[in-house]
Amino acid sequence: MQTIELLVSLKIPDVTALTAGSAIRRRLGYDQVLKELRRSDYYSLDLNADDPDAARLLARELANKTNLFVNPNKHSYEICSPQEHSGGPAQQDGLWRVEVLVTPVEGAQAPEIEQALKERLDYGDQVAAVRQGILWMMLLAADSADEARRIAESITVTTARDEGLLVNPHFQAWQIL
Amino acid sequence: MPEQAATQPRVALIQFPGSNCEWETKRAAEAAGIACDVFRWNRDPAALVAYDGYIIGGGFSYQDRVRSGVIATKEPIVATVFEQVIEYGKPVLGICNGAQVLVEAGLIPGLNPGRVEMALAPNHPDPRGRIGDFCCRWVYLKHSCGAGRCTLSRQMPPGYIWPVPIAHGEGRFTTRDQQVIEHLRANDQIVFQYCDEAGQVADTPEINPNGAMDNIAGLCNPAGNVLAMMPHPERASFIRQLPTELSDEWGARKQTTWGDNEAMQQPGPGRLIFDSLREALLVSVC
Repeated sequence: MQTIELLVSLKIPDVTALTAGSAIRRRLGYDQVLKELRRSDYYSLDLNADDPDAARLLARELANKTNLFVNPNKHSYEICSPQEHSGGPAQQDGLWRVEVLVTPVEGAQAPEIEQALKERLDYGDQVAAVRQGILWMMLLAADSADEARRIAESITVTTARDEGLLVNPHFQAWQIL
Repeated sequence: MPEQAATQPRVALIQFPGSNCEWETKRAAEAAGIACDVFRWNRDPAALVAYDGYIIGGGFSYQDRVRSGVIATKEPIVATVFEQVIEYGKPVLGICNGAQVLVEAGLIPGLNPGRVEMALAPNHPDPRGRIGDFCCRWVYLKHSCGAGRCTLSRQMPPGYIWPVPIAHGEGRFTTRDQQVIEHLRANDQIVFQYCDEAGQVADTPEINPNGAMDNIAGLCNPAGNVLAMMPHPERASFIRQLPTELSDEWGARKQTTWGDNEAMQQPGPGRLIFDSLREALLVSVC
């Protein structure tokens, strides 16, 4: 079993990310801290493939041919492995890059997509499971990885009217990748 | 602000970019004797102070980006509403998207005002396994709290059952903190629950359209002056708005009004919310 991640982003400006970024800067006080906010649809695919290369090939085929993940007219995508972004905040151009994965608290399973792949599109046992969520990517001005993590948490989790935006913890789970 | 009769209470109906129920809500409020101004979100919030109460109506504020209602809560205008509620006890009615704003603003359930203690999550998966379906249909509500517990429903007797439409994709009242639900029950803050025509409250997809905890359709704050409800009372405020297909007394009344425009303008069941709001506003004025 191989796990592959598929990140799908808009080619055009993502107005949800722009609006969220604006609210975080203008209303939550992170004007000098949040330098960039981007968003991707996140899919984690458990694939029955012999090795990571074969899994990547299959994931690329799913992205290109099934129309379930990517609309090539408006989306771009990238394929990666979970290990590629499991190290927490990382430095980038003098800033800290933090990735936050948001999923439903009741589970990230995507039974409709799984069913379509297995039954309608004849991928059968090649696809074992599909999970989905939203991946937010922040570029933060911070003095350390720990501070970047703390800022990312306070931007993410809505605990009060004027605290946090991206997650309501009463129905959403989150983790810094 | 237009001149109003001295005794006529005035509300500001707050319009965010993406609100789409403001004019029908204004008409329902005015039919109940409330002077109602549509107040744009980007006006000076200080002007809100002159109003006796507030309505936040339905729609899709900021296109429901990130989560329904959450971007709107960060606007200064909501901070002013919050202040007027906490400091002066002014009444606030939040309908659908307005309810989502009130929950994300920490006014509902308001056990610790300002803290976000609940969510209006995507509708629960339906039996066919589809997730987050937008649900648009007529439902029945039971007035579940005690007489006068919520000032915005006090014209309804306890146990009152009434038909009203819903139209939402994120309307499932939920919390991860079981103590919150226990507090809501103990405080009698559950104002409306989804039920069937006979008043039976059951957690089935037919009765509880979004899978809300305890079939919650409307909650008030501990003081009872803030009501957040997902169904749309403004769309059930005139007989003409009711579907003939209702098999209850309201459906029968609708059928008797065919061809009689004046009779069609008579109040529907949702009017009681606005009548209650008027009464609460008069208290607020005094």
